Formats: sequence, structure tokens, C-alpha cells
Amino acid sequence: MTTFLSSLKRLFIAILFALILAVVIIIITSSEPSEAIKVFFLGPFSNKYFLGNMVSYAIPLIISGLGASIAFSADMWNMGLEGQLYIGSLCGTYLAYQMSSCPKTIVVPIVLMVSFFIGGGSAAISSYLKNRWKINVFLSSLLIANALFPFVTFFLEGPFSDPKAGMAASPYFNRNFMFSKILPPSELHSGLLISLGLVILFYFIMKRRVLGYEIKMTGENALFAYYGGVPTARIEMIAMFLSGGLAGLAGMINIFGSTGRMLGYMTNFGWNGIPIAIIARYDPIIVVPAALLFSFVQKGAEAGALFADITPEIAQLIQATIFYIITAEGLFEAIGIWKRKSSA
Amino acid sequence: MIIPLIDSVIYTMLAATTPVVLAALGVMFTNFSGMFNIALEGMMLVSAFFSVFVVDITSNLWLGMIAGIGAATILGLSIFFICHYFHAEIFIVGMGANLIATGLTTFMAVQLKGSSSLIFENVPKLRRIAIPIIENIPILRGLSGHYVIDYLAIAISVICYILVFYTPYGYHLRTIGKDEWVAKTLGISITKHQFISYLWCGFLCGLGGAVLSLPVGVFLGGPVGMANGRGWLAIAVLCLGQENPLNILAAALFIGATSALSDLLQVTTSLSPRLLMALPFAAALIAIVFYMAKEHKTSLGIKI
Repeated sequence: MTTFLSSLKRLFIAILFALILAVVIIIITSSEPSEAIKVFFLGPFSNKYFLGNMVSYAIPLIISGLGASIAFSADMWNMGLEGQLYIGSLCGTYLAYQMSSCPKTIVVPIVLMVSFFIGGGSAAISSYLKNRWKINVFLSSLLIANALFPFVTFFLEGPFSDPKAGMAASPYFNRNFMFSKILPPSELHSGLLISLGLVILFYFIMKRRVLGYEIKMTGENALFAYYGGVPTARIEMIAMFLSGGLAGLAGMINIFGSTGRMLGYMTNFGWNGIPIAIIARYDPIIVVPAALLFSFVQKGAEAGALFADITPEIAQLIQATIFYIITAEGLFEAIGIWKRKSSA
Repeated sequence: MIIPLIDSVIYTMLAATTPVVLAALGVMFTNFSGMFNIALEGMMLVSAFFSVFVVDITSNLWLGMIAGIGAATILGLSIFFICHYFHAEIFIVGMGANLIATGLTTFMAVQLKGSSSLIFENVPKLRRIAIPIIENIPILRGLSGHYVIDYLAIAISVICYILVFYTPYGYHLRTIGKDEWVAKTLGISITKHQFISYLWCGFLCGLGGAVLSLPVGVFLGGPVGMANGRGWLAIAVLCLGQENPLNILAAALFIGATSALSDLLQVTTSLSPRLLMALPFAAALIAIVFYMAKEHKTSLGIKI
């Protein structure tokens, strides 16, 4: 329970910090600060359309945040989430495009499974390299992801591209496969239920199952876990596989839910999973509000660009600054938000 | 036919090596001091932006280079202070610094000029230095005609080698790298060395970033960015070169050679240029696998 509370605390600090930073940047750059601040903060909540879009944007963030937290819980620094998301959704989209004549009830589960396994497989390579040759997971997952970006872009520009699109994008697959919309004028889709289901599933696994305990034990102290009979190599492999699989799933659910095809540059869903997991301190439940915070910053900036003179790039700046400062607990101690650790 | 080709490959190899070797030497110092800095990508990016931006205003190359180095050093020192005084996790702050660099440069580019990718027109050309005799010898011709920073990078690697292995400073630094506790009992101030190593890292990454943008007078913001994964390649180079600046230079030359190879294949074969962009990363990974399999060394001392 104490870890849950400290996760919650970190979330509140992140929110507070994001809001203060947003106000400061808007005051500096905008010519009508009061109007711009109002649009930024209230824009995403102003009507059903904007609210639905904000929640819809959070769906892939929730899933990739879950993916990051499960790998980090096992002390596997999977920095390749973005690459795993790319390759998983590329394979999934290709399959959905090829199976355009099959019924929806068959296609959607198969495609989601394929994205999951491809994403997971590309993450598991790093874990294999670690077990076999002690190669740093952080480095290998980054290098693999960096090699995957041009690879995927090659397919989206060449063999599997839509010539009418005018940018790197795949052709649309059968529109019937798309998830149903929940809140009609907005983009909110039934992928929300899948993501919340995954949150509950992973909460259950991490808190109530042996696998979750073994993952956390491996993360805390791998040698001790090994001594206690935990097959650490296999546990690390499973954590990496689930993490990459969730990243692939995040991309594919976003495609099924809102875009209907794969676009060359996704909006950092994989990268943003990392700070979301860290804000939530790897707690699956807190991942949801953390993802909503990131989505709020993004959509607030977009609303600000529409109705006031905010540059939409401030979203990225605010998100990055949250990431930068979130682990600096000494800073929060100094300004009195964080309670000093007793006896330490 | 074949000799001009070799010339151009050697030329591209040296040019591609410079930013990678500078960043790798920078991260080497932070690795010695026990505060591994992974924000190379971000430091190179801010330096690339501020150097070309300042040159565009002042049309003075030196001022631009100083601005780039200053920006990279400020980012590096902010990482050091947040981690040292506020007990943040170095690793996460480093990732955050990379994202901040992308966000800040893109935001400033859009705010100041209206687009995330900029072409600066009144940037004076960097002078290419021709080496008198070598420029006429067929195969060695590629060694001549580089910018001053390219030669400086090789000189800096040698200077770093001397600094690390033949001076008291380097001896202290290596002691901290081997065992912090021993260094403490010898009376070496670890904080001081960490601070100095971040200054080094800022200086070297600043130079590495300036060499990306100044010769072409262009800045690319956005998700891929100007640094384009070179910061991560530098970490891979450190992994291959371990603790010796000259080995790091050799490893960076290898990465530069794969970049040159990917450029060459773009021209001579019908392979897609996109696909070839993956070549340096794949080569770095495979090289690390072979190196590790042969040497049985443990990987970098990232303590997280």
C-alpha cells in the first residue's frame, strides 16, 4: 500500500509540474496569455468531441506504459519500445490488408496476436543477447530499435505503400475491421476496453500471481532470486517478451481504433511509455492516470494551436521536462512536497 | 573507376567518424567517473541547433561553435546537478535530457522560424584544409580536404590517450573507474572528477554537434532529428573501445566505415537508401556480439 501511495504522490507531482510549466511557457510565448491558458486547460474538456479524442489518444499510451513497467519491474531496460511498436504494427497491418475478405471476428484476434508476437519476439532478442553474452539490454534494445526504424519506413515508402497518400503510409485495410466508436463524434473506440482489460490483467499478474512476484524479485536482486530458485534467465525473457508484445499491441490497437492504416511517423507512443511507467513507479493501475496526463498535455496543446496562438510543440517540451525532473526526489524534499525518508 | 571510388569511401568514412568519436570520448570520461551519461544524442542536438543559429545571426563561426559547446555543457551540467544534489536516477534524467533537447530545439525552431527543419542561408562556409602532398596521391587522397574539426577529432583522441594514461589526472580518473571506494580512501574527490568529466563531455559533444550542422548550414528538428542515432552509436563505440581512447578511435572508424559503405551501396546498387540507413546500427550490434563472445568481457558499467 505504501508503494501505491508513493506512486500516487509522484503522479500528483508530475501533474502539478506539468501545469506550472505549461502556464510559464504560455505566458512567455503567447500574445494573449489568459485566453491561451484557458484554451489549453479547458480545451480537452470543453465538449464530447475533444474529451473523446483525449481518452482515445491515451489508449496506446496506457498499453505501452504497461509494457515499459513490466520490463522495468524485472530490471530490463527495454528502450526499444518504439521499434517494437513499429515492427509489430507493420506486420499486423500487412496481415489485415491481405486478409481483407475474411470476417472481422477472425481477422482482429489473429492480427492482434501477430503484432503481439512480432513485437515480443524483437524485444526477446535483447534478453537472449544478455543471457548468452552479457550484452547490456539498454544498448542492444536501442540499437535494434534504431535499425528497425529505417527498415519499417522502407516498407511504408516502397513495397507496402499507398501511392495516393503523398507520405510514408500503408494502404487502408478493409474499413469493416475497425473498432466500433464509443462516443460518436469523437475518435474514442472500443480499444479502450481492451486497454483497461490489460491493465486489470497485469495488475492481477503483478500483485497476485507467482510470475509477478518472480519478475519483481528478479528486478530487485537477480542473484538473490537465482539463489532462491527463480529461473531468472527465463523470467527476464518473459518480461521482455510481454513488454515488446504490449508495445506491438499498442500500435496495432491504435491503428484498428483510429487511423485504419499505418503511418510512417507515429507520435512517440513507444517513447512516451517509458516516462509513463516511471511516473507510475511500475504500478499498472497508476499507468492509466499517467497516460491520461500525457494525453491531456498533447491535446491541450493541439486545442491551443486551433483556438489560440500556442505552438503545438510545447506538448513535447512539457512531457520531456516531466520526464527530466520526475526522479529528482531530493528536489521535492527541498521544496517540501516529498517527505524525507526516515533514518536513511 | 575504382580508385576515385576508394578515395570517396575513405573521405566519407573520416567525415562520418568525427561526430561519433567526439561523443564517444565524451561519454568515456563520464563512464570513468561513475556517472554514465546517456544524453549524448540530446547534447549533440542542442549544440547543432545553437551553433548554426548563432552563426546565422553573427556570421562568426567561432562564436557559433562556442555557443554550441556552451549549450551542450549547460545541458550536461544540469544533468550532473539534478543527479548529484537531488538524487535523481542518472539514467532516467539522461533519457529525459534527450527528449528535452528534441522538444526544446523543435519548439524554438518553430517559434523563431516557423518550421522544425531550417536552412540557414547566411552561414559562411567552413574552410576545407588540403594537405599538400597527400592530396595528389591516388588512394590517400581521401585523407585530405576535411574540415578543421575532423583533424581536431583525431588529435583530441591522441590527447585524451595521453591524458588518461600518462598524467596524474588520468590516473585518478581511472582509479575512480576501477573502484570508487579505493579512490575515496586515497583522498580523490569523486564529485570534483564527476563535475570535470561532465565538462569534458559537454565540450566534446558540443564539438560533435557543431560539426553536424555547421558545414551544411541546416538544422533538422522533429522526431528523427539531426543527431539521427549518432549518440547511441557513440555508446556502442565506447562498448567496443572500452577504456582506451585509441581503441575508441578505431571503433569509431569502423562505424564510420559502415556509414561510408552504406553511402557507397546507395550509389552503386539499387538497394533502397532507407534500408541502408539501418546498416551502421546493425553492424554495431553484430560487432558488439562478436567482441563479447570472443573476449568474455562484461558490458559497460551502467549501474541501474
